[in-house]
Amino acid sequence: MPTILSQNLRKVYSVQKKRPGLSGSIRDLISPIHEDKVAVKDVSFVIEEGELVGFIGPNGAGKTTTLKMLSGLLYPTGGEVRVLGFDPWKREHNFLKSISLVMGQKNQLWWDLPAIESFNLAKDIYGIDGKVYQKTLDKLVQMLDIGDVLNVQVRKLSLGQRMKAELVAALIHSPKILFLDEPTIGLDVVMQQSMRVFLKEYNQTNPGSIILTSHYMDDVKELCKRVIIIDQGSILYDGLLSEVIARFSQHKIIEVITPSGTKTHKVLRAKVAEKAADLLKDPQVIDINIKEVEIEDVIRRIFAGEKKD
Amino acid sequence: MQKYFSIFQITLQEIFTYRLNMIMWRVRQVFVFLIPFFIWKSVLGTGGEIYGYSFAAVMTYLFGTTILRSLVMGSRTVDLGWMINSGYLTIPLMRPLNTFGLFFVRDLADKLFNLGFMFLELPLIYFIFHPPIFLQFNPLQLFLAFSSVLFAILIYFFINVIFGSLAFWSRDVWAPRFLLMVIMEFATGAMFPLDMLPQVWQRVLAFTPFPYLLFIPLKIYLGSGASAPLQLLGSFVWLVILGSLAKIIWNKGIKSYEAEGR
Repeated sequence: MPTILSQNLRKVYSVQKKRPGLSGSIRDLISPIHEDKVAVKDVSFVIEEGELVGFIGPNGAGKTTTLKMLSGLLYPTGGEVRVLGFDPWKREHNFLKSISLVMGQKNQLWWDLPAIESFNLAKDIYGIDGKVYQKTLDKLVQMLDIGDVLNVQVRKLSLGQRMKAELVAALIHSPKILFLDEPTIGLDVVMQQSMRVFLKEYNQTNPGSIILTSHYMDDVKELCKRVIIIDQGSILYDGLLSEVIARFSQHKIIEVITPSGTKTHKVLRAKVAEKAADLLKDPQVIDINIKEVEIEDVIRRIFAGEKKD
Repeated sequence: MQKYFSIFQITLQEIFTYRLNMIMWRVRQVFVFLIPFFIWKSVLGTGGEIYGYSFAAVMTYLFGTTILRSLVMGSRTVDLGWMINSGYLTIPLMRPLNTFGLFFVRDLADKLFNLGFMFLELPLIYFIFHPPIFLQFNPLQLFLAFSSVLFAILIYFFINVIFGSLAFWSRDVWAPRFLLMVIMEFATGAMFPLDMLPQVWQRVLAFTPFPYLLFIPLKIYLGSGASAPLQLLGSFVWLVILGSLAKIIWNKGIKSYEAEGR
């Protein structure tokens, strides 16, 4: 049984359209206009146990909406979704005990109380055995290095510390699936890196799957083997990150090193050998490097609507 | 059960975090008693009766509603509309908890907090204003009054769930909430005994759940007014109606929940 099975998943929001100007606002009072906004069009995929999959796409692509449907927060307009064999929407307790959802900068801890209170509450909510709880807590606190702020009110923590505490709260019951929506958003580069190191280590040392959405390609490059590229509510690509470049970029980069500096040439894949041989004929050439186009460039172009460069 | 007990405890911890808020809230509660006290003192302080109520009788009634109010109308569920609009509802929805159970336990914590302070404030009010106190000793009447308070607590809870759930469809939850507060101030009998009203108004109010929140439980305790079991039955009918309505509206609304901002 796959961990997550999504078939033709669809979500349509009804949004009120605002008429321009004051007279428009008054008319909106009397007869508001509602229109349907398709957030997720037709999304199908399968995720197996232990996978760390990255959902990438521009703002409004439908990543977060998909994640919210997978976690049972949103009611799908159409399609079918099964997570660990459960229908997420029913939010059965056994399902909720098996998953966790962390959403970017949004706080899920008790704002006015020290983080440890939220962890202790989670112990009771999830019915975790005392010894198991202490062991998991110690391990997570040590991995994330937040032992010294456990007794500080959550609202007094820095964003990075809070995000780490969020992760402890989300993982304290050892969920089988962790949904992460933009986990590094707003963090400085050092903190982003330390979050990535933690997630990588956690995924390697614990069973269970991690589904991640992010704007930052660095998150995806360092953490995910598999990516699902989503745009305008549809999947553009589902497969290995390493194959995204080959699939969407028809070019390679040839770097030519000469005593006067380095020159780069963008060459069609089929013509690389021929072009390289040609370049090497020049006696000034010391060395040449053949490289793939940067993944960021490829993704940026995909988001910009250029399906192939 | 342990999880709900822990939520109960953490809600109290949360309330105690804001000391100034807590003190100001208590001051407000004292004013809630003082305002009608001075109004009635100016009307009946020199003697006489209005609609069969002497000053002493009105004071007993007000003293009673002040206590009942903190029990029945102490609530955290009033925040439900905000929770839906801000996306904060996501947190309880993603936990293995009964959502109504969670809200109700938080209400209970609020009520316990109110009640705790009541025991400090009431002696003070008593020694300053000497309102006549009526102690009910009839066990049957006490049982009926207790049941009636319990129903009132649940009725108020479901009213809050229903009004809060409006946020699933509209962002404008403050105005309906404010309107409800104003109506309740009048229609529950918090400011004056409802049997002072003209018959026609009493009959109109009898078709709403509001008198069952304060007026009827207090009347049952005092052992006056219409048949207590009949009123208890009326209270139960409202409880069933509002409970079912809250569940239907919630189940429908939650499908429109967009978890915005979260």
